[in-house]
Amino acid sequence: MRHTPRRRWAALTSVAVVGALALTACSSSSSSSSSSAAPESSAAESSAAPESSAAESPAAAECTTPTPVSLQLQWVAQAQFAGYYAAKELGYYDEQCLDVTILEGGVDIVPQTVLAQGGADFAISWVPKALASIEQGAAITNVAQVFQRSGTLQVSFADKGITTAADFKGKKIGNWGFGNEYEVFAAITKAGLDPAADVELVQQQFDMAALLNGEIDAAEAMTYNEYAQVLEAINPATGALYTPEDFNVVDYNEEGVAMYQDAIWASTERLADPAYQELTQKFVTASLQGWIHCRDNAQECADIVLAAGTKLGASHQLWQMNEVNKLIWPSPAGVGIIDAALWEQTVAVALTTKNLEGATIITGEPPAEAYTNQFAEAANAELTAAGLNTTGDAFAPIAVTLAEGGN
Amino acid sequence: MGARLRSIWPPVLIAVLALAAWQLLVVVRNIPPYLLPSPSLIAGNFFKDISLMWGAAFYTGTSALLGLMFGTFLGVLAALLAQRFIVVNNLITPLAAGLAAVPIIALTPILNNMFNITSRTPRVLVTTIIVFFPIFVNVIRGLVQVQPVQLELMRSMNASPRTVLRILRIPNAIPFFFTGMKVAAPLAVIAALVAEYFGGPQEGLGSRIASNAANTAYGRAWAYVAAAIITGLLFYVIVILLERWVAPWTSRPRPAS
Amino acid sequence: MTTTTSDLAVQAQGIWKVFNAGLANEVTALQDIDLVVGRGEFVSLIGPSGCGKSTLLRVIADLTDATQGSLQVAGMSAAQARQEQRYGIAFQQAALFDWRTVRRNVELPLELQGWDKGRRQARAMELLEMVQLADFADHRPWELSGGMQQRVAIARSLAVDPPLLLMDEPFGALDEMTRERMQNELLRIRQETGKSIIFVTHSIPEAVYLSDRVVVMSPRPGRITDVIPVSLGERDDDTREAESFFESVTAVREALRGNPSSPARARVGEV
Repeated sequence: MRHTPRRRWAALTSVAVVGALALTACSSSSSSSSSSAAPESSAAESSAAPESSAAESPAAAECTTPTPVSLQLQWVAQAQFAGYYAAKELGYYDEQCLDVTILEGGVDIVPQTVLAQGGADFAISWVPKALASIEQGAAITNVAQVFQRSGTLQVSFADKGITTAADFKGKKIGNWGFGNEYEVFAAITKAGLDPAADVELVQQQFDMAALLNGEIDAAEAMTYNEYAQVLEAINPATGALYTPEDFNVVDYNEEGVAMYQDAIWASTERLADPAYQELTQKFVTASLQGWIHCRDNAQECADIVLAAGTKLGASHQLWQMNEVNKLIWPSPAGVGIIDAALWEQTVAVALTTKNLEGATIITGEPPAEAYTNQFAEAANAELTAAGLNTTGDAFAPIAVTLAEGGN
Repeated sequence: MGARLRSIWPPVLIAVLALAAWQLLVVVRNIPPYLLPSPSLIAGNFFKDISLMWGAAFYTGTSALLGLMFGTFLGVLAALLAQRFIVVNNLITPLAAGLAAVPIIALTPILNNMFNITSRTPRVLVTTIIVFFPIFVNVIRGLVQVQPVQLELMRSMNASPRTVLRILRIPNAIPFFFTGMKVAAPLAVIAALVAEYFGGPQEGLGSRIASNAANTAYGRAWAYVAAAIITGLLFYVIVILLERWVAPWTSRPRPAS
Repeated sequence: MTTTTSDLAVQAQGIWKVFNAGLANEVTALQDIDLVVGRGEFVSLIGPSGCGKSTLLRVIADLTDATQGSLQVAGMSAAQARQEQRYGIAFQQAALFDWRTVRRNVELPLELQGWDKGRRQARAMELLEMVQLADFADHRPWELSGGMQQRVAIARSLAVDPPLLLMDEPFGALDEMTRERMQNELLRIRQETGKSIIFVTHSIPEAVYLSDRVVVMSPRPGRITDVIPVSLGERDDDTREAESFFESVTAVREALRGNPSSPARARVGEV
């Protein structure tokens, strides 16, 4: 018996194992959801057809068989997606004759890939990540830009004196990696620093422990999530919760490098189909109606999300609902409508910002089909006609008291 | 030497055929990169960014090497103690088995919170823990599984237990040690790599793979995977060479009759 | 002819060995064994499986304790004899260490006795020359045939020059031709060194060819049933074909079948 060929086979097997393990540990669930590519609406087409142009109130026509629709979220159930949960809970989707299933996301789930492969009818995704997918061949279209502002902050203890990106120099700057680091890089580059040499970049876990432990100087945080986490933590020096005065924040909107975030994406190919177009219109209208309700009824929507099984506490959800509202409202042109200048800014940052590998998010301009305001505008018209305010010009955020641990 | 070359070509041929089939599939079926990048795209990314590949591989490889060394040292030490003291054996073996069952993805966040996340320490610790078990299990087997006739021989020569350990058990255990190393070395690379998914410095292969995958840049992600495979293979080959040098008797040919 | 105790290689009286005493699987491996081996004598132990021959050898070697009885090896207790290296032993497996060269395997007992390197090497080469394997000193055990490995094992057993050799079917795994060659080797070594040898075997011709006396044992319980003296004089290749050889072989065979030719003899010199 010779050992050598066996060893070569063993080596080759270990090659496959290393490769498979490395990728499966972080790859998306794309392979699992690649089965269904046919639109679910085909069977319900006949029942959806008789619904003529929706008149004054959003869809009151008879609904025999609701069309099944799936929505892939970007993360787990939380107030960041309250509009959709509200639309489902309050019957707005039902009124549009839609039976919506909301699919929670996670670390390994890439929502735009799920959408592109037919694993869902719609997906929520940040624009830069979706642009990257589009460039790699995923055919998706932005049909409603829900979040008008970026919610990304860099949070640090006040005594570090980090108030702008220029203050990052020589500090340990945390970011989440996984493609969420570009705004940080863009701000660093814009401030004239070299990310590789002038800043020590550290990947954070999805909690604020590293900041609170002093292991990093500034942590990446979302206004509606991680920032609340530090305010829900007990300050060992005082024995009470931390207050906003204990921290400095660097707002990437103010740094001028903000990129569009949460938006509703649809399948570009299926948009050629009139039935899917109708489906998209109904979905967008009902979803935006949900967001309008959450603007005016923050506590109710926070409770709806809590009931949907979120792991975060009640005060944390209310905080999140309120902060998300601040990102959506006011929407000067109307909720869900894309501002061309901000889109250009997003594209510019995506084209020019290099990360540590010297790679940019995209290498070329996105195609024209990357976004459309058609559905958002029609939804605004429909909702305004129904007596709802779609710009939120009178919106005022509420005051939220956080409890320890977000409960 | 010729025989060894002759034994290489079948797996190499199969690998080449597999890559060709993959390339053909992507081209003919027009599969977009976000679903499945082609070997040519991956190779292109690999060579274009070769210095990045090398840098990331060096970083992760260093973590893996440190973890491998610590884990091996602890594993060998534990095996020696466990062979000598049955109490230690009864204590360590279930503990080691339990630790081996904890997946890397569960260990890492815990260690990240216990130790400074901005340093290499949590990753090296994860690797050390993962490496410990195969080394411990194999070395103790090698120390214990000596032929009864050899033990009788040693007793007939009035050898003390210390002498038996030095003269018989330890040399006997060397091939077993290398069996453990052949498992542990590629495992160390995998552990160091996977541990990078959970935070910390972002220069390594794991961080790069995750980051590029999240940005749908699968061509580059797979290029880093290729670098990871090469690193793992390198570790494995070094172990094999080490074994040939230290313990030539383990690959002995059939005895002449 | 009288012999003094110190002249005797082995003096065993009333040796019993019981395994698992008092339990359901109790086995009497040795029952009331009396055996005397004189200086320079070659004694074979022969019998079917379970007759206790290997157990008896191990009791003599102090590799296992006797349950009962008195035992003197080389004029001292078995344990002392082992501690003072008064015997060398060879088993059916050569049990050479793969990680050592042939010479270093032969050096092993000397190493354990604390001999310095130069003395060890010289003695090892001497022994290898005696078994005609000097050319293979730097080879590895696996490069040698089975017969050659056994010769190395025998060389090793002679390393400390003990007065007694214990051998447990050392040629059992070898083919017939190699076996006969090895038997000649062993007799030659014995003639050169004058050692006492206790030799366990399954083979009747082998026992007869090699021994001064053949001790026949039978199982359940293990005991000595007969002792056949063999007087064939100087052994050579013709001996195997001699009439007297076949007579002795027949005598042993009959004894094994349970038809003893003469009552069990235990003492030297009594025929």
